[in-house]
Parts: sequence; C-alpha cells; structure tokens
Amino acid sequence: MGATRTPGQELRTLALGSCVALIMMDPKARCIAMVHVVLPESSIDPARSQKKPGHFADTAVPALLGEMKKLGSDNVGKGMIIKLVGGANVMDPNNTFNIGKRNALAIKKALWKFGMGPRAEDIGGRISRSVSVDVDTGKVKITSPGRDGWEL
Amino acid sequence: MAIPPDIKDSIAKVKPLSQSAVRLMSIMADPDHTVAQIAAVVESDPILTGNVLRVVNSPAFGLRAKISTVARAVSYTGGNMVVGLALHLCASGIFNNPLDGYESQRGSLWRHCLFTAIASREIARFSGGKADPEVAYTAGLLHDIGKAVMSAPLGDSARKIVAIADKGEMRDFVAGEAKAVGTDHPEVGEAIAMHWSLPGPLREVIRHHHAPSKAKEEYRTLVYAVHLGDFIAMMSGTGTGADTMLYLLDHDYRNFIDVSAAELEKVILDAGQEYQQVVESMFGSEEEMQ
Repeated sequence: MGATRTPGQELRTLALGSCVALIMMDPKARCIAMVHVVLPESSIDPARSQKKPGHFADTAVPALLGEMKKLGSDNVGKGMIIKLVGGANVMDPNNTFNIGKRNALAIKKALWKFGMGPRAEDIGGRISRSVSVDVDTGKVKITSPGRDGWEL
Repeated sequence: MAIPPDIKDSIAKVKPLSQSAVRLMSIMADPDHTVAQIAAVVESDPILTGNVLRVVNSPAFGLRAKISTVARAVSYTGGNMVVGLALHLCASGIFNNPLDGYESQRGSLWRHCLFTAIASREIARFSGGKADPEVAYTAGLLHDIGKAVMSAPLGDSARKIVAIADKGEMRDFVAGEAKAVGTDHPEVGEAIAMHWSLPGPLREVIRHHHAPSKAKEEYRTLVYAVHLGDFIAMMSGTGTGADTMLYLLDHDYRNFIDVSAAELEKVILDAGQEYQQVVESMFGSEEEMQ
C-alpha cells in the first residue's frame, strides 16, 4: 500500500497475477494511492488483516481512503477517481481458483459502501499485469511480459 | 513429438547435479528420513554448509542466538530448504540465467519454482495422503527446468505466441512452444530429468505438470498437486515471464485434491509469506519485498 502527493513521483506494483491493484486519485488534493489486494475477504485471516489490511478487499478500501485522508483528501464519494487493474483469471468451473474475478467483485462491493465505483478498469483475462501511476498526470501505465505496454 | 537434434545437444551439455543435491533428494523421498541424515550430507559439503548457516542466521529467520552447527541449522530450516539451497547452488545455470525466450529476468525461474514448491507442498496436504508433501516440494522446485533449455530455441517466438493466445486462438503456451520449436518445456524437462537420472515421481511431474491426467496412475495425485501449485505461484504474481497465466487448469483436479475456496486462500497467504521469508533469507530484502 502506498500514497503520495510529491510531484514527480509514481507508485508501482509488480506482477499482479490474480491480485488487483486498487488505485485512488483525488484531482483536487492532487494525491494518489494504490494498494495490492490479494484476496476478497479478511474473514479468512482476521489477525493478518489487522497487520496488512491492504491484502483483503473489504479492509483495503477503508485503509486506502485513510491513506488518502492523511494526504489531505476529503473527497470520499464521486469526486474520487478510482481505477482497478489486475485480477487475471483461471477458468475453474468449481469457482475455487477464480480468485481474480472474486477479488475485483469484492473491491467493487466494498467501494459501493462508500458510494464509490471504478471509473475505469483493466481486469481479467489470462494476463499478469504490472502497473504504475504518475502523481502529476494521473496516467496509469500497464505492462505485461510478452506484450506492448498500454494505458488506462 | 520428438526433440529436435540441436535441442538434444543442449540437454546433453546441461551440467550434472552435485552429489549433495542427488543424495538430499533421495533422503527427502523417504517419508521416514531424519534431520541427522540431512545434516550428514550438508556437513560433507563445505559450500552447502556455508549457505545453510548464512541463511539460518539471516535477519529474515529472526533467530536471536547465532547458530553455528549444521544439525541445529537444519532443524530450523527443514530439509526442504536444504534441498532448495543445494539445487540452487549446483544448477544455477538452469535457475538463474535470464530466459530471453520467455522474456524472463535473471532469477525469475528460480523464484517461480520456489513459490511453486511451497504451494505444491501445502496443496499435497489436501490429497488424503496420496501425495507426499516433501516430494511435492522437490518436484515443484524442478517442474520447469525444461524452460532453461527451451529459452534459446524459442527466440522471439513468445511475443507471437502471446498475441495468438490473447486472441483465444491458442490452447496454451505449451501448444505455442510445440508449434514454434517442435517440442515443449515439459518434454525437454523430462529429457533433462533423464540426463540427471532423477527418480520416477519427479520425472512424471516434470513431464506432465500441464497435463496431469496423462501421468502414471501411481504418481497422478502428486502431479496434480504440482499442477495446482504452479497455478498458485502464477496467480500470486510469481510466474516465469511471458507465459505466465497462459496455461489451462485441469478441472479434474478435484478428484485428486480436495481443497475448498477458503482453504486455497489460506494456502495463498501462507505460501506467499513463506516464499518472502525464504527469498529474503537467501538474497536479502529487495524492492519488491517491501
């Protein structure tokens, strides 16, 4: 989990696999934050969610809002720009291995509680993504080995 | 499929494993092995001894007192980690070279194999005793050795394979390898396993980890365990390179491995944590570990 409002900086997260990067940007306070969500629900390991709230979708959303608030963003609601990246999928009819899909859904559910939703998303597929966010431009750049990079 | 002659030549040139690695693998394959047996092998190998002591005394292990004897060190690291260190030392040409054919950086194959090993061992615990967790670990370490030799003949084919697979016109990366090179990393891996005289169960895993239903019946559960461990590593962001996620999950896994969604999530968390600890104890903390 990281956040910044220092001009010239960027936040990066490597090789997401079925994990999802939740990105928040507040154009008014000019700050950004990103967290690497591993699993949908903290109930699987409440002790770990205390130490690493960013690991779980339901605890990651309030934790990331807290990081944004520390940087002066009080923009909870429609003013916050939210993007989701990652959540690569494994096709599994048993639904056991579909963690990428469940991660993305759980983040959206947690965002709805705050009246928010993603403005853009690049999720799913059989693609392991790395992502960087630029604090000055708000540009979200995605790379993946074997492919040309793209922007969201 | 037959392996093309130039690739056969490369396989013949793969350096043999160290005696320590071979002996450790055979000790670990015996479910009744003892720490003393492992320690005896380590003690006879000064370089391995140095590595085991360095790792157990690294900050990542978090032990307060300095450990100076091999027997105590092995009791802390466990046999799995010793096998990993022995393989990493003697087969560093396999594990650590950048694999340009997979657009994979130096050390990525080792990291992928290490994560797969840990996850496979945890998954084997859900096999009702049919797959030995310790053997699953060693098999996970070795499952992708074929990629080290496949990288050069693949050349710049990975980009084309990925582009076709992304359009949904290629079953998986293994099929892409076969089309581009005339063989694939499981087949090449099996040939390296024969070159190294690896035991039967390890060879079966290397040969069939992307098609576990084709494995010999007696080893099939073990192969399914590593098949799933491989997916867990890729899902956790620790794949090899361009091929990451471009494989098919065999849905019949549930006939061999009885793991629920919640149990799988625990495996992902625990394996991720152990993987970080091992990587930090071997290499120190790194940017991506923070």
